Amino acid sequence: MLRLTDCSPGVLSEAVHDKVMLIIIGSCLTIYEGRGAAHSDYGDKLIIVKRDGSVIVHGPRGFKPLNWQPDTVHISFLEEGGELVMRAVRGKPRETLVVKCRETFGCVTHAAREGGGFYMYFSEAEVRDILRDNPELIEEGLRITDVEKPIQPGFIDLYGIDIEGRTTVFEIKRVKAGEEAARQLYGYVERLKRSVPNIRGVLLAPDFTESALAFLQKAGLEAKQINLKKLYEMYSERVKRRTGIKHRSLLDYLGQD
Amino acid sequence: MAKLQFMNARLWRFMIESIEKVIAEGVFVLDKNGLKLRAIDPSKIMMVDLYYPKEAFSTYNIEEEATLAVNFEDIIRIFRRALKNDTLELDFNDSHIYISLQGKGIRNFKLPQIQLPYEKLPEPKVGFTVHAKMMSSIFSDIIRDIELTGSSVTFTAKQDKLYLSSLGDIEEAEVELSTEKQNLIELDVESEDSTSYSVIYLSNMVKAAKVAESVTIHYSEDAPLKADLEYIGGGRLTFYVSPLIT
Repeated sequence: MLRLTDCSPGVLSEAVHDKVMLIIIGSCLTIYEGRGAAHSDYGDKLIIVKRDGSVIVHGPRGFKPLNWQPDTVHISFLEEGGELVMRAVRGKPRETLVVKCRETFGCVTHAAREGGGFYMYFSEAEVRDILRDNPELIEEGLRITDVEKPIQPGFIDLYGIDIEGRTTVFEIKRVKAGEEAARQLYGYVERLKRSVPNIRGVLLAPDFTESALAFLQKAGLEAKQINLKKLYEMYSERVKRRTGIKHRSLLDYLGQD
Repeated sequence: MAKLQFMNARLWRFMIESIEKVIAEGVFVLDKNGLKLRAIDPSKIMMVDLYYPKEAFSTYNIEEEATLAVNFEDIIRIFRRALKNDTLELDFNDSHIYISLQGKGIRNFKLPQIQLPYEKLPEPKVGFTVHAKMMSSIFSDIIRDIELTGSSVTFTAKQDKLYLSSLGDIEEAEVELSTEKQNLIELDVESEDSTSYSVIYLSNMVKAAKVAESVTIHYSEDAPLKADLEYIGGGRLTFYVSPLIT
């Protein structure tokens, strides 16, 4: 829930402690010390403290932040000489970002929920491989017998046998599936019907358009939702186990373009 | 229909061979300035960022911004047919890609465009403290040397030297680079930082480095490594590799 709040050190400290998103707008200066050093003079700034402790400072122009801390071990708020002072410390590498506001125009807290978008960099092949290895994520009792099965003019993503012994083909989309995807599945099923009786066709996607669902229903095909976040977590664990080496993720360093 | 011509098909062959080691599929974006590709590997450890200005192409007919989605495993099978002195011609429309390798003979290939949505990926935000520029042959040799010993390589900077060291089960390797020894063209050390990376990801760059004019390494403490490979005509292929957790 979005809350306008006063900008006192006690309230802001509590917000950080409670891991809510915090936004401060004020006339502030910044001082950064770490691998380098930088400072900006007093000017209107937008300061964002996220639930995970990351900090971003924006000026009134441009899309790139003036300063940021991708992670912090300590964030504190104090009043010094009539100014609100925020100190954000990063552990490794050791960096300190100090923001001093001689005037605050407003502060907002919000218990922001996680949204989508993390799966932006997750390909259909990766989704297919996880589902191939974990067919129970699609439905109980399913056995996958083939992957990328060629059928003119394309390939069936997953081909298997369901719990009742019926041949089932799956078309996978990792973004919202539209009518085109539904028609693609229909094409595969129609081809296979000539040689495989009682075949099922299932479209797998995180979401579906109304027209896709309408077409599938009319064609006697099915739609099943897949949880990309869960699949991504499984995939990441698999990669870590395979390499046996621990890396930081590049996603930790991505800025905003 | 969009059309591109490039005088050195082999250059694209080696660049694509390196890109293919990082990502299986990707979307090229072509606009009035040139050609771009930015994508991250499935494990989120390595990123590629390619830019080639339109002036480097002998023909660059792009009427409006266009995207070209490719499966690199399919593309590389064709590009590997490129011989020395072959030129490359690339046409594409919404459904197909037409590749022509022209040299002693003319070989034409046609393949379907894959359906892949374009998603803009931001650039890593890192403050680098060490910058080392070297000939691409030096870079390739170093990586091949390091590969022999261990799975990780540590970059350590001193004021006028850069050390790459690797510790395996039995062997050790250390490479010393400096402008004094003339194996570096430039070295700029703002902070004597030390960070480790997996050798396998650096090895992925070697093919592309083979045809680059120079390689510039940037890194800092506990931060991704950035390798800028510069090509004739102003092209640039950048790789980011995330650091090992130590």
